[in-house]
Amino acid sequence: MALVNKLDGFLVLDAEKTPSKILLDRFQAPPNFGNSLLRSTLIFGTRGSGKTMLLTWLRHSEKNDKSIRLYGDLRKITNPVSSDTGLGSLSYEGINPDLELCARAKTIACFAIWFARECKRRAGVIVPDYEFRQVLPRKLRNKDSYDLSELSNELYYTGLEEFKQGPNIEALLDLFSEVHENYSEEGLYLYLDRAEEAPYPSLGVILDLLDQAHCFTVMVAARPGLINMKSATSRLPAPGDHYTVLHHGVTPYADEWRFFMTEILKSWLPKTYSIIPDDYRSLISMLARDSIRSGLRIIHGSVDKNGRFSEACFMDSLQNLQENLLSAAQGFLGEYNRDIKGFLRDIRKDMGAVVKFPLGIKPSSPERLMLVQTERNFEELSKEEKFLYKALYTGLLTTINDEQWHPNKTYYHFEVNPLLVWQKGDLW
Amino acid sequence: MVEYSFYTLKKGQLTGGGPRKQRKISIFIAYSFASESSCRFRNMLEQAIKRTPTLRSIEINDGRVAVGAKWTTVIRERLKKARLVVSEFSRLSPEVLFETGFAYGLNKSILPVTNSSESLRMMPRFLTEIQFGVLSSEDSISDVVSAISECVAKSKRNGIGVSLAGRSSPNNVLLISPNSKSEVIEKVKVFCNREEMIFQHLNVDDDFDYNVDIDSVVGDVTLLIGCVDNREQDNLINFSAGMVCAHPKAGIGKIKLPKKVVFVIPNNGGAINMVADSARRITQTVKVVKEIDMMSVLSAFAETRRKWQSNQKIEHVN
Repeated sequence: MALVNKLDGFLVLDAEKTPSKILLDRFQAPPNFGNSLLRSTLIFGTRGSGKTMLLTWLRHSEKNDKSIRLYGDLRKITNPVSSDTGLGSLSYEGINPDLELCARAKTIACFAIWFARECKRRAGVIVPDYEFRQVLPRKLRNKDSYDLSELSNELYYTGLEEFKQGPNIEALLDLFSEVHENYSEEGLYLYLDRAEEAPYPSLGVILDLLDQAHCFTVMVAARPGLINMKSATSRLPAPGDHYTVLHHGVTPYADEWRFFMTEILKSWLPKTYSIIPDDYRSLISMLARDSIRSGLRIIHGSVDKNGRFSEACFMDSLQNLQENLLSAAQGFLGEYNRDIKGFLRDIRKDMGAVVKFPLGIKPSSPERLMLVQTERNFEELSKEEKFLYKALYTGLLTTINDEQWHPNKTYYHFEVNPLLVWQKGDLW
Repeated sequence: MVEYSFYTLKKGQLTGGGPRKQRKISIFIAYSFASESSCRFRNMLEQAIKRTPTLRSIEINDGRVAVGAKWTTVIRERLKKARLVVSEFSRLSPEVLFETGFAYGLNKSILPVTNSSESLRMMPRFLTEIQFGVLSSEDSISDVVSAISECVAKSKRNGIGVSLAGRSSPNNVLLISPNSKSEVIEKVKVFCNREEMIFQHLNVDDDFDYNVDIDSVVGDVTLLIGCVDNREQDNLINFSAGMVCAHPKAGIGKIKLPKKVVFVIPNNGGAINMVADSARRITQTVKVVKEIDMMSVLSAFAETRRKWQSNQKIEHVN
């Protein structure tokens, strides 16, 4: 998405569309990441927090070394499995174990073809033939020669039944290891984005790749939400033990995050940022919270046609963003609550005329928990829990400041996205 | 340290404004676990359903029950809530026939599917009245999905009349056997005379043509006795047993008479495989006995019935 204003011209908000030169020039390293990125990591972050930007930057950052760095969108990679199973992001329906096993095998083949195509495209490496064939279903394995685009197409239309006899995850790991050992002198790095969009049988494969035991390094980015559903076919590696879990933007109200956010805003919109009054800078920082994209959008829209800061433009920009987020939340949560706007209005009403931010929600009695995250079946989730997962996914709710999202954690309270409730005159 | 203002949620507030809970539509697939083609059909059908946007949210169930779960309770619930039962008849499996009979007894819509028109000949008449889905190739799965869409949208039972299985009379006995089982026939006849029950015999000889009105024959039965002897006709017994088990009690009033299904196998123990495993699990209603032990089961049933009759009299007096 590209926006235009008088001072800084076009603003490209999506990392996927940002030219690599601009990205490398303007990128700011997020606080408290440091050396943790040397190990396979599952990175959580809310929408717009800069996960894609981070992964894209990581891919581009060491262009001159002899490593192979590949970026993949898991929604696209696992699309053939979604199409077969009808499962997508936050689908709460389970499928029968036989099919789950086949879907898992098809995911493995999807990964192999994506990997082979990216190796060729990004690093000029043709993956070893024998190992590659082992990761294909039997039907496609014995071809004399293959074209990767055609193969990808054929795989899309190959029914799950063809995957009854594999491939299994070991074959995929062998392929990755072979490329790591023989084709990359300085390591193999896979940056996999949007894990929350992958159907749950595929999630097992993705998490298996994160296991520290492998010689290559994998970063997986996801929004907070379902990631540890019980699988009938595989045992998932333990988060925090077999791989690192990081929450991007876990302390949005801390000075270091504010500084980080300011630096990004300054670097992407230098002229616009310079004319924003101090009070508004601080308000924008609170409202955007951990979403860099929201911060950029509000600031970018606060300039009038003469290139000056205007409160009316600021409010319009804010309202526009609020409406977008609210309609997205309503779309996802309508099944559980048909009036999200009313839900937020009731909260405001009960809190009094002026609300002090940040604003959290907690259950009616302290001993009640909001969400217990353990490995569970879909059927075990209550309606409230399903609501919470989707609310976190859409950004209606977030974890509170300094509380990391972790697949095995229990939550007592959540924060309401300030952007959706804030009104002029509120305190922060 | 960030200071939060916390709002205390009222009970049910998160989801309070949600739409009224809509009952999720579910379908039940009856298929033979032992047959590879049947399993393949089940998986292909699930995939095809999930690929169809209008059917994607449909819950798909089958007769597989987790270890430790009570088959009767689980399957009864699954079949009860199913809007449609898809029965895969390519291989005339006792299991599929029993589950289909069970569904028929519960007045569910049934969509029979087979891979050969030859199998159609073996179906009881009421089933052949329904348009069968014949799976000639993998492509025809889409025809089955279309039929499912139609059935699910209609929500009413397709084509066939309402089963009488819920309106059984406590006096009716049905024996399904070939005429060659003369000894068994004679014993049941005598038993019925003694207990003042109404005896009916359905002769399933080799030339049996299945042109039978299953409702009028099985619908009001309280005691069903079926002689299984390793022939295709045994499937009719399984189907009928399913119908009876769907409503396991007979009579009116508060106290009802538990129905009984007796599978009679030859004295050498053969043909046991022709009894649906699912049927055998309903131990309160179904008994599988050798010919020589049949009378002991019938006597026990007679004893229960006598007790029930005396309780009925007490109830009437009160």
